[in-house]
Amino acid sequence: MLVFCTSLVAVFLSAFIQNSNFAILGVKPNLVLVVILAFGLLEKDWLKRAILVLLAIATLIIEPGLGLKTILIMSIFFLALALIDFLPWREIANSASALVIGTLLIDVGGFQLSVFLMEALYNLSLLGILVLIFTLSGVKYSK
Amino acid sequence: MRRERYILIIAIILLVFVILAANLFFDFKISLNKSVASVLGAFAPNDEFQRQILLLQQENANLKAQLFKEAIVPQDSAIVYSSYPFNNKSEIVISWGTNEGVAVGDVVAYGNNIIVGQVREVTAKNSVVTTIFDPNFETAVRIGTGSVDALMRGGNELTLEFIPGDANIEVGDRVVTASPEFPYGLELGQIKVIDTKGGSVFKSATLEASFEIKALRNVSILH
Repeated sequence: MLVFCTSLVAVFLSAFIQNSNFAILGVKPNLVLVVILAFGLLEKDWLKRAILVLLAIATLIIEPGLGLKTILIMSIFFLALALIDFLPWREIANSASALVIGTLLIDVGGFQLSVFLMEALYNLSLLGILVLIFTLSGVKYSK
Repeated sequence: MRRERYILIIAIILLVFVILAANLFFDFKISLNKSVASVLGAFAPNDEFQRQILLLQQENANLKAQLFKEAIVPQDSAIVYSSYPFNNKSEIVISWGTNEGVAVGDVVAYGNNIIVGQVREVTAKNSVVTTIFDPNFETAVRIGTGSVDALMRGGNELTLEFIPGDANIEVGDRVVTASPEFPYGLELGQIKVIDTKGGSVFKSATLEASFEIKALRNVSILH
């Protein structure tokens, strides 16, 4: 339960930061997607995963009402979580692949290769840091 | 175990309600983010200095664009709350809505002279603005003192197309709006690179915008 509560706080905070103008060299890392996928390694229960995604969507400021963009982003988050379970490699590799695919899908409107590559690099680095934190803190996840 | 499942299901129902009723919570989310941003800003003074430098550069660009105007008309301005949360610069949210007389299609500018975009959606207190960086944004423009006609297309990189091959344009030339849907002469940016395709009737160019999305804090509405 502690892990789930921590994941809720992390998703909420990451969505808040995502709404801000925070960027590294003009490119914003996708903190929300990283946090969702990192905790997706820990939480196998789809009810809990659904809560993480819905909390992220409820906190992010995407558009004034429920529109196509919101549904698209939500679908991409769920797809990325599903890829962790269904890709054929180890789960950390699946998570990294899902992160790159999710980043590409979110950036597909107005795609710029340099922006995508930088964002993917930031996202993978952040995922690595979170996995390292999980390892050092002794939290159990499937490798 | 069962009790935990029920709690999770109730949480999902509540979150789905919040998402479905997004328009009811939109203004609240904007206000909350504004409050959090002001608190976080106090912990990042270097970011604040960089933001101020960008702001001063933009103000300088705006004043240069006003060079031949007789007077600067002071005007109330709307606050820019946020941009689309990911790396797409195509939309921003501003603090004026129907309460302040904003309507869909209104032009949004930095100062009175630099075009930022056009209002796409309006609520009572806020508006969503499609910026010139939207991939679907395009408008007729004129380049430099020679008033060379061209078409500007939006996107992360702004491009000018259909520039006559024999047109006399240079890097640094100012580009302004020349379409009936916008007030004439609003500045878009300056030419950064000119691409003369060998043998083609037209040449193209890329544009450096006169403003940075992430540094925008105030904009004005031109009806």
